[in-house]
Amino acid sequence: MAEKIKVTIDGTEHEVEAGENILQVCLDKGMLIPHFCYHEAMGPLGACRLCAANIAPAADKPGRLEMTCMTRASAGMVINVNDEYATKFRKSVIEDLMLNHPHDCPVCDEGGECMLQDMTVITEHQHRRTRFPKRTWKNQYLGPLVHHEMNRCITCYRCVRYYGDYALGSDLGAYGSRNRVYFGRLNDGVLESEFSGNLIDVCPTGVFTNKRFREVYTRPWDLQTARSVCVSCSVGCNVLPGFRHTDLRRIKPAENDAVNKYFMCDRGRYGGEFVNLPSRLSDARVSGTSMMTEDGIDAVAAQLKDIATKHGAGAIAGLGSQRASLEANAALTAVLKALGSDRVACFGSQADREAARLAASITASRELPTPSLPGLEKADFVLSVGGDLTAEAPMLDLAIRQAVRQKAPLFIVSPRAGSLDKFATASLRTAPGTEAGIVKEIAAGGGKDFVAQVATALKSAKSPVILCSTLHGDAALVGAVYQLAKSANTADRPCGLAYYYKSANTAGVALARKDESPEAIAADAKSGKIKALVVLERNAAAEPALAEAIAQCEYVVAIDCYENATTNDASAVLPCVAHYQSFGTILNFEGRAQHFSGLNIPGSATMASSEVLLNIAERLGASEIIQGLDFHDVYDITTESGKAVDGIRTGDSGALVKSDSKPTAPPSAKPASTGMVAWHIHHTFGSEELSAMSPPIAELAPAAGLELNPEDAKSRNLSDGQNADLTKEFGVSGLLTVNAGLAKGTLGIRVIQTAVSAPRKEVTA
Amino acid sequence: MTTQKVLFKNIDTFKGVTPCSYEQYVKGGGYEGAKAAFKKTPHEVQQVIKDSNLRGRGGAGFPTGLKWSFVPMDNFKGQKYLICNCDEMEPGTFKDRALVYGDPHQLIEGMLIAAYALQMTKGFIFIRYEYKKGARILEEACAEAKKHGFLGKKLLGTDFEFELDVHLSAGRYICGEETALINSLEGKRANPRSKPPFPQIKGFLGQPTIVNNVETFCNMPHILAHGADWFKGLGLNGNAGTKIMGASGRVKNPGLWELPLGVPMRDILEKHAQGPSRGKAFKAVIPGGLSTPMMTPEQFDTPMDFDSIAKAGSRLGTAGLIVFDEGDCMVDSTANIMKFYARESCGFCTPCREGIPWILDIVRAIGAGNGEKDDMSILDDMSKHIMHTFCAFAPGAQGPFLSAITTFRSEFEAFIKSREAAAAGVN
Repeated sequence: MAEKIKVTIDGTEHEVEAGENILQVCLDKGMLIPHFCYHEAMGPLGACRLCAANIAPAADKPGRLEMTCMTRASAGMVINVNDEYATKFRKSVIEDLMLNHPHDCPVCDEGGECMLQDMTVITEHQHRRTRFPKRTWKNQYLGPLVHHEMNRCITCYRCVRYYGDYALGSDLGAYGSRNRVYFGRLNDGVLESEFSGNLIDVCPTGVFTNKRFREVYTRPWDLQTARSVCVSCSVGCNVLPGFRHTDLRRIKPAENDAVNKYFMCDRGRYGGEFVNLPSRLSDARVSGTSMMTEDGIDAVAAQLKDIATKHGAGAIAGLGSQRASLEANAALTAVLKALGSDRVACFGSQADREAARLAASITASRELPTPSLPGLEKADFVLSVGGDLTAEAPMLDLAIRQAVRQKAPLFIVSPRAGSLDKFATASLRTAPGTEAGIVKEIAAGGGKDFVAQVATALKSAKSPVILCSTLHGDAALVGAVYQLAKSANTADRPCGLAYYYKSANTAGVALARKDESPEAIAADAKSGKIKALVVLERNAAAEPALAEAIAQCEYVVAIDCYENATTNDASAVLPCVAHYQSFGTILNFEGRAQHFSGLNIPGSATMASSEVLLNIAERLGASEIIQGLDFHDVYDITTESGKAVDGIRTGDSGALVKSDSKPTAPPSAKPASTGMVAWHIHHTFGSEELSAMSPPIAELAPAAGLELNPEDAKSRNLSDGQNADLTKEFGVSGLLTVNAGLAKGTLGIRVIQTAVSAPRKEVTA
Repeated sequence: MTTQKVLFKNIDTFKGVTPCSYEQYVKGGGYEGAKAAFKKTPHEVQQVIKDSNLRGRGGAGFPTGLKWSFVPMDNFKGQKYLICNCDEMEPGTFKDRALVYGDPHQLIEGMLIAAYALQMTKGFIFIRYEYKKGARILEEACAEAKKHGFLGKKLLGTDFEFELDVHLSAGRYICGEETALINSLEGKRANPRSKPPFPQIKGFLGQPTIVNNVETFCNMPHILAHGADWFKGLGLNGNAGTKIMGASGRVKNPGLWELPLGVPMRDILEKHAQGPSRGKAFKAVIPGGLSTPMMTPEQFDTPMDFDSIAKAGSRLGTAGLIVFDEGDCMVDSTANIMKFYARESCGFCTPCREGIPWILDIVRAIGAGNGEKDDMSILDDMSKHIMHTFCAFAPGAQGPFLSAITTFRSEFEAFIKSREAAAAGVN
């Protein structure tokens, strides 16, 4: 802790830490000193000159005009923000900036949330004394996400500092000099960064605006918002979705010190448009007949009761959802319990299930510290294993970039190079299934080359973190990483360990007390033992393990917000509201339970999936079960307050859950395969189910297909751009991309979701 | 007054530019200073420079010995860098050009002495783009110096090594600002850095770095060869050394002269520059390159040294006089001056980037007869406003600007009034 000292700000004495940034001190204390270039995430710059105040080192020393952002607090310092000349000077800076700023506020997308507007009003600059022509610029095409309007630029350098210095992007720069500094790309083109949308928020005026929002623009004060949590991956960034009339217009990050502070990834920001799809469900459909949701619930309850009576308790099973809330999945168990069944499967395969459940139980055991996003930024050693952070948990990547900026060594062990690899100290490309062996070698401390380099760096690190993907169904790897972190973790040198998952609430359902392998359920459905499946917010028909079972099962109830392969084939469809209109609790990668809330929007369903299920349970006469429904019975979680996820409010720091039981023994590694191993390639855009349906995300998604290492392609006489038929060996065929960044012995299968259109046009008012 | 030629010993500025060869340089006592330096310890060399009262010749006049004293020495094991600032883009200033084109070995020897004194093993000469030919001359001279054992490894019988590279700048005035120069040398935008940390502690690539002007380095061989007391004796009224002074503009004989520091300005104007060029009386002089306030004829007896010129309200700067006569319109001249600053602003901070072009627009409008009643009050506001910028560039621009609108205010007002009178006549 820094020394506490006293400074005087506008006549009032304040206690602050020595060396603290004066501007930040004032902002923290609620005194809004006008500023532009200063941003808490990026620090002071001193370029805009707006945050000037009269500052004297002591009461008896003369003060002079200084930038508060460039001044560090020292004992006895006297800061006069309201000094007459300082006030005049700040007004004059705005006048300077306004010399060239266009008078286009009425049609500017930034209007109403424009920092330049606010600062102009605060400094009381009202009248422009200039009579000279303004400078003009050509705008650039920057891709489907960000709109560029350079005439509005006030040259604060925030965009390049964010994009280049903070997010380590290389294709946005400051060009030219004097009063002709241009911020853009060398040429028109799609911004390369996966975090480009944050430009919209860091830009204090309307140079960078949201291209999607622009197309359906509304003044920000006309948006209806309710704080939510992003559903696009397992990081759980806090967001502020904005609705107008029947549609989601945009998503912005919502500040939460424990998770994401100012930023979010483009998948999250632009991936919410699935909410608006024409294929969103608003009515129930039973045996092809459209009806009110309430009637549909009656029909489904009656049918399920009938099946249970006729075929016994074991004839009904549920398919839980990794993207639905803990409440919704708990309500599914309540419905099943009312029907006498306890058979649920939340995962797509036994391998995925094992990996995720082991990872979640290790995390929830709280044996090792799990780094949060702010914690990751401070790491001084990073080992990323098994997946592509940028594609599978984008904001973890942005946090790691901050660690890299602080010179933390970064090591990556994975079958395929991703965006983060160019910042890695060293990367090891290794075939799927062999990662666990490498992690064990690192833990053993011996080895040479890469392994030795990682082990040495880990040994000398003071706050190391290890990140591991669970998206590739490798429980042995999850276990090996756990052992490595455990061996590196000491009382005075904690070693952070974080697993990340496929979906927003995978970590939550992975802690369900009752969950069985989907293969077991599929087998019973195919054999006719299971007669009915209740599918919760999940496109199970598109999952290889379950597709056949869904097709063959006598009675399938699908509860979802949009039309997909499962709802298409289902005997009964019950609509629920989409995530950003819904409410509930989800667990992120840290096992942090976060509550999200939503809004009722006309033109869509009216109930959250949890409400739909509880209604079914009620129709089944299970009010006792509903009343006795306790998270602790359904999930192996408690929080420090003792009661599961109790007292969490939307937008607070949530609660890190704890599990009662110790993690089960990790399985031993599979023997390394000598042949080719298939590996699912996840992409930042296009691989995640819901966001992939959003038009701008679909536009950025790569084409589906297969990837091979050049040597493997050569040995199979395959070349780039060719259609590769590997049906016999792997059951797949597709356009081949030869990728030198893919490990030898790996067949990369790109995971690209394709939207399913509605079977019939829904007419909405 | 007889002036001892020290820096210009091998240079005749009126005979065009033929660089003094290595042989010629050595024959005239060249590299004796370096030999003398290498017989001393680095600390002793630093002390000689400190004792000589040498002040930086780039314009600010900061004592060189003091600047050096912040460089970490004995316990510092990392790389340190020595940079020569030859980004001579100050209007009215062409002294470094003469020194580089005329006597490149003098600069190299000076840098070698500084490198030894500061134990810096890597050096750069940062030279402005327009001095391309000078860069070539320096490169050739460096190769020669290397051949004769004054650059490279194991120099003058010691273990000391010094590598010197010539960097041809892309050509921006702001690169003359030492931190912008360092950024530019690193391949970054030539924006100044915030200080502290000062380059002596964290400069090029984050390592301790000294940036000195060409003329500053050129003095060092002579100081080391003849001693600090000899050097102090070269100037007048307690000023140490000679100074390359220049004159351009409305003078009969524009040029460069090596004169004792402290010579009266009138001596340069009348004796060396031989008076007005077109029979009109002198009206004003900008004494130290463009970025210094104007001085008027009643101040012409001021001695040309750092402290005297400062006392008279201006700055010695580079001691390159820019001379105006009674035939010069000060409104147009001011527009011309501000055009330079508007063009050369790096674009980093607001008052400089936006304010100076606005000043230019207004001054031009006044000069074109389109001045308006409130224009002078805007110019007054802006003259204060541009003092609070990130670096010294805009305060440099403020020097000639503020003095012009103060000293020659009546000219500005007359232009504005005549328009008002014309407008009134129409009605």
